[in-house]
Amino acid sequence: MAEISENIPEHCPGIESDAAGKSAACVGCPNKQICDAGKAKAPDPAIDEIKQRLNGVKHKIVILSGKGGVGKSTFTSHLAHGIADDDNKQVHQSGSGWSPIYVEDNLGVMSVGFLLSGPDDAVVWRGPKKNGMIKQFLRDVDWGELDYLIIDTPPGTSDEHLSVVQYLKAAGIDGTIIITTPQEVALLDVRKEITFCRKVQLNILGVVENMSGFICPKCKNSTDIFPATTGGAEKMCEEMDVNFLGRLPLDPRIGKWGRF
Amino acid sequence: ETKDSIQKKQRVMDSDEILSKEDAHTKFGRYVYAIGDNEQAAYLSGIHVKKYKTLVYTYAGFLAALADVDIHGPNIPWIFGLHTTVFPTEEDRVTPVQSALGIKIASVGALGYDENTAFIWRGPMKLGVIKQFLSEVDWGDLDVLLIDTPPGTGDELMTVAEHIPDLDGCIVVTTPQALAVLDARKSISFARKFNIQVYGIVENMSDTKTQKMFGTGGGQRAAQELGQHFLGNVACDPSIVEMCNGKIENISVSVLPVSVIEALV
Repeated sequence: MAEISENIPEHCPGIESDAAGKSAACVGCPNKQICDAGKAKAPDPAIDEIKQRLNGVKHKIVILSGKGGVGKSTFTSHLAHGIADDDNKQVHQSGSGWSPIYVEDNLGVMSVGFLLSGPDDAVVWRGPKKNGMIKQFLRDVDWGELDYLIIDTPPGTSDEHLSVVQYLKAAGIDGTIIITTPQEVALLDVRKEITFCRKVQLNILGVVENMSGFICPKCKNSTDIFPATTGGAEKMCEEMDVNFLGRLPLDPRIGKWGRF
Repeated sequence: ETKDSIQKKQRVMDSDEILSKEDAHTKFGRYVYAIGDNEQAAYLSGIHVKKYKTLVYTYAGFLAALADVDIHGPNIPWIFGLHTTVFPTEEDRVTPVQSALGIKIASVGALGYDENTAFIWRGPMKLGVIKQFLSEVDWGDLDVLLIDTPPGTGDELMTVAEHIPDLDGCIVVTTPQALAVLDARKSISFARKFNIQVYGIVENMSDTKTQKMFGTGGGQRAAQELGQHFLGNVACDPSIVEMCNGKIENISVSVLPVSVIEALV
């Protein structure tokens, strides 16, 4: 497939759409010819390249959440550490490409954060550019032989999520874990996330309720900082017919742990 | 007196007219008169000037409005108890609905879709929707329009920054832990890139008393390091969660630092 330019008009109907290349907005778009010929609709060759690259990865898990700030990245990091702690798992390095940064002997990490020049650097990118970066992370990083590849995502149901699902179509995703906090404002967005998973046929492994109660380190009493006013994640899981994986308490040590 | 302080006083007097109809016979009404007359004297005579100013600004809020441009998690209607309301839309006009206290609200989340509906849209589609949304909502006369945005510095935020040329400024909200502050710093870089004035940083879910949950002080440190105003802490309070189930307007204004409102008014 010809390279698709990122400089697209505002009213782009989307390259997968039937109107691609034919709508009024397409006039003057650098991709008009590609879209018109139906080439953009053809599967991206990167999907197969990614399959090749991830051949040695046994399990691929995507971490999602509806709302921001519910602890996705913290949970993902914990989960990765937890899996890597199991001594039976081994990671071998082979091939070439971008090398992930190894925080432990058997735990490699790749993030846009490594490509920034400082903590204040903002990645001010629109969708197509973000998709390009995700493609590179999956295709060009030398993941080698892995037992688990855990993919952390931003909140929402947009470019990043669609791209991950699309690029891993051939390689296959084991499923997704959805993170939420107990209050209804967070659950509202989780319901939308579940709808998204069903629409793109992403297997939901289950829902984790994070920040569920706070156990005082001194008196051991539990307080609900984010009260589950509508029954929390467990009740929502029943209603939506998905697995409830469990609760994680708010622990002040986690906040400190995230400060390197 | 600076022009600014005269304007502030003027604003107190304006609200004072409204209050005169409702509260002329209450302690609150009398205090407001006193503050409007001479803030310094009112303070010296033992009136909690800051507290009453906050209340007055809140009253004055009936010329305020709220636009929710978070497409994937449009929670503002729920927080205001308006989730069952469908916003009246005509061909190229959207009428905002009014909350109990008269705040006009428009959200992509209240266009009549089922609550489980996910808007699975890529960037270009979102750009179109937000632009349409910003241009078609009939706000009428407003003092302040607040725009709630999703996290990050992606499509939604870029669209708002590019399509509202006379944006007055932004407030960056963070929680105290270093991980959250790291992302807040990126929001400030974003504002600088687009020449948007940063009013300051608010530290939400701040735990100044026990320091056990997310800690405290992260937002303040970041403000210092980045040369921004620190607008204050909002306590981590479980009752706020209850309020967010449609009763946000019952919330005691004292949870919000006066400095946040003063930065805007």
